Amino acid sequence: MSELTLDPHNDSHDEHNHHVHPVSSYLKTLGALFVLMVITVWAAQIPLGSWGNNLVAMGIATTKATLVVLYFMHVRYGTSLVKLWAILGFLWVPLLGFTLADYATRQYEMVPTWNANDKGSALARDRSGTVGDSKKSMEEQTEANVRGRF
Amino acid sequence: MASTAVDTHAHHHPGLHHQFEDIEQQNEAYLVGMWSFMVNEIMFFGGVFLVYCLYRWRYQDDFYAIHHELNWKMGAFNTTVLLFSSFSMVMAVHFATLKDRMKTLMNLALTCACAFTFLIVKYFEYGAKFEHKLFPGPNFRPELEHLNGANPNVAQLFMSLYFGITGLHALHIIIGILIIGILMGFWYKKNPLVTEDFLPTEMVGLYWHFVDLVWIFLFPLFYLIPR
Amino acid sequence: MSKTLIQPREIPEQEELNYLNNGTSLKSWLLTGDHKRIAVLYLIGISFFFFIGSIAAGLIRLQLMRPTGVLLENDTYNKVFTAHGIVMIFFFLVPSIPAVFGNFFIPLMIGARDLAFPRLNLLSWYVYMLGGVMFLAAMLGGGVDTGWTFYVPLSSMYSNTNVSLAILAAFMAGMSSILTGVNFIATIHKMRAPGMTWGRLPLFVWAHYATSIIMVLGTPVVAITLVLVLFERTFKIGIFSPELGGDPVLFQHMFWFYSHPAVYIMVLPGMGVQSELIANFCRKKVFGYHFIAISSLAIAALGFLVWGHHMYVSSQSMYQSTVFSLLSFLVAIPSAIKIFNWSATIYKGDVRLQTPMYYALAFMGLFTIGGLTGLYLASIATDVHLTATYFVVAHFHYVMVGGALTAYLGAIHYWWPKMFGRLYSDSLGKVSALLVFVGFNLTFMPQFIVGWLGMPRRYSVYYLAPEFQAYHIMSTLGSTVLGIGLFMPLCYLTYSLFKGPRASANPWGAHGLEWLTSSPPVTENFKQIPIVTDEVYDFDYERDHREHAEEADSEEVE
Ligand SMILES: [Cu+2]
Repeated sequence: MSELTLDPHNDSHDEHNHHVHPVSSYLKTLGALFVLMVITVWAAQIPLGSWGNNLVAMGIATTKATLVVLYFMHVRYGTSLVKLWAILGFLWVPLLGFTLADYATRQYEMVPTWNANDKGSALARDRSGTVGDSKKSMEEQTEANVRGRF
Repeated sequence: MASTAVDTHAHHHPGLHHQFEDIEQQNEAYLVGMWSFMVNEIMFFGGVFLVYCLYRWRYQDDFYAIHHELNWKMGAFNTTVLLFSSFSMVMAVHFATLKDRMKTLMNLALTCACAFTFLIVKYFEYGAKFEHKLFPGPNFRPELEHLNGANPNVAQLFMSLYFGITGLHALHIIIGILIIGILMGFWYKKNPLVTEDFLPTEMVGLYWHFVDLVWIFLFPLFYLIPR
Repeated sequence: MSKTLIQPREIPEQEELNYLNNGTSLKSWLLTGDHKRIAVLYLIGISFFFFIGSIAAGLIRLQLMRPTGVLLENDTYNKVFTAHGIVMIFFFLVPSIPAVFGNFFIPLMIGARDLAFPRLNLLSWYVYMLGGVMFLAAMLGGGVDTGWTFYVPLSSMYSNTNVSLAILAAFMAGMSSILTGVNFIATIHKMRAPGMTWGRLPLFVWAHYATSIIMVLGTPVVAITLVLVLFERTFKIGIFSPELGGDPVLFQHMFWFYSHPAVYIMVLPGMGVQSELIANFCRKKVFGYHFIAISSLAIAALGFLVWGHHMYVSSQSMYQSTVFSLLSFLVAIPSAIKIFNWSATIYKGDVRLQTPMYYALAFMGLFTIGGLTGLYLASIATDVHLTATYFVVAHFHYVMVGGALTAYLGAIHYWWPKMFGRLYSDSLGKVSALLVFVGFNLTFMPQFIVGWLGMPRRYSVYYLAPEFQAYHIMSTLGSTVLGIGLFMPLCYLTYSLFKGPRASANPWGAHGLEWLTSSPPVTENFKQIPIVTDEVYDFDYERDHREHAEEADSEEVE
């Protein structure tokens, strides 16, 4: 165990701890965050296609989050353990990815629901059309789904 | 198993707990604990984000329509406030490491003020939703103009996600105000727990930045839904 | 032990007192920060809930003695198996080994005075007990009939039993396990004694490290899921219910994202216990120490990527099912690494067949059966046939009871002398271990068969297939034997508390820091923080130096 004196008059203390960072880095971070926020609001008004806007918005949000984590939360100067934890925070991404991958690759059966854009809960149903009001409504559903954005 | 004693220090830090050898070990343990707690919080919010992503994907058009009910200007204002509060918090930590009591207190007070501002804006936002009968549940009976052409069921789903996630976030803000208040009390009373050691301030700071982080994602997800 | 010891800051009067008699008032227990006392508090709470869960299990077995049922109405039967599941999983298996033995022995094993956050530790016990009391209230106030999985839309829309209270209770149990996990992670990272490198950590501690990561990363997801169900139940907004526009399969995704890793929360600590038992009772360093340590982490990591194997018969995409199936098979690799390495440790070991070793051997056999039958359920084609049958019930009982409970019993018999400073009768222990083993197999082996033949789980009657009765009677008979086997330790261990011979500091001649302190340990664990200079499970070294160490001990007492 290293001897650590906590005497406030000891000038070597701050060097020892690496805790004091220049205020300018905080100011730059804040400036960058504000600029990125303005860009988000501005970019949301421009149509970039169904994926474009989402990617831009989430990309900017992730950049902002990274800035906060690195500079405000001091991860940039932190121990590797802290960095590891910061990375572990992304574990929910496989949860998101795997779950959405399931919905993206399902073979849907048309089940009438209250929403035309809903692909239905895809419970096992009789394909002959006994579920639902009529053959016609099933076709309407199908058409609505083809028009859907999936 | 060979064992000898580890020398402990002649003078103890006032905030040192008996189970630790020295303040450095204690501080590192607290940081590890705090980080694992924050990752746990991320998973907590990650669950609701998953729900949001799925339904946003499934009901994109309705979500787009109903999201006009949210006031993006208020959202942007609140984002600015929270980003700034993160800055004042990190300045508080900065002055805490320099043991500058007055400046630390001022910055903490500034952070608290930002947090209150955020909640006040949120109060008006929530109030408008209640007024338009957009709160989910049996009382969800909005006029057509407030649906903007969205399917009422999806609108309700959107509103429950909105109230659920921002409510959870607001709860974290309220908890944040409480712990910043306690921290300020400690600083005000010159409690050696905080004046001799920057770590309690740093931990509160980490928590506050986490709250800010969540909002960074919430703002575009709810207020800036693209067509 | 060196005699050039420097006394650390230590209150001299405390030195004669151990943690049990250092303060006897109720307050000194209920407001304690001592990890050992909190572990004992947990032991009491967990034993109580195990008793409740066992009664529910007994009622289930009694009911199924006859094809038309014996005792319970259908509704009551639903409530009984739900109570059995929730109590056993949330209030027994998840906290069992971590909160009792992890709490007690992690600081001792790594040479620390306490866990990193003692007050958080105490809080976790109170949260756990609060959750337990809430669930008892839910049970006594009419019960819950959703099954422990709280599947929607039954739990959110249709069930008119005490689902909300039960959900809050499970939420509380989850919070308590998160607090435990955070505490263990900080402790294992930062509280290790000098010289206690990662490569010298006992495998018990490695297993708990992996467990804590799952607790911290997985539990919040189920917590938020349950909160959403509560939200839907209270406000009737559509998050999971299809008639409200929600998606019930989304609930299953979120629920099993936690609840599959939760299996590893239950069984990884058991594997940690197993490593300690095998090393000690074979007097050998565990074969492939590093592989076992890393395989715990591998199980934790892989465990997060396989949850979809519970959803093959939901509407999950068949492509996704294939991926989940493949990943599920991969979990067999780290599990097999452990089993093979333990077998290799036993080989040519100086095996001592004492009670804990009986449990260790039982664990290996039973867990292997549990794991291998898991492969039937991980492959899609067989799983479609076996889903929701007694095959599944038998499979997870082989893992949970044959694995986790057996390890729990092994741990309690191994560390009892250290925890309470008393010895129990080894012959009674062996008899009970044999009864548990025989009774357990008699209970669950027939369930594999009857499940394969098509007996669905959660049915209160089976009069359309009366030929299943023979299996059910066998099962009920076995559960009676198992019950006797479980009741015996309660008697002789309690008896040993008062009348048992006093235990020395190291009654097994075991290796490890926890055996260096007195039995029971003093309040701050170590008179001085040890410096670790030898390797883990270094039994040869131990044999050479034991006499020397005992001399040093006796000198220190003088
Ligand atoms: Cu599983």
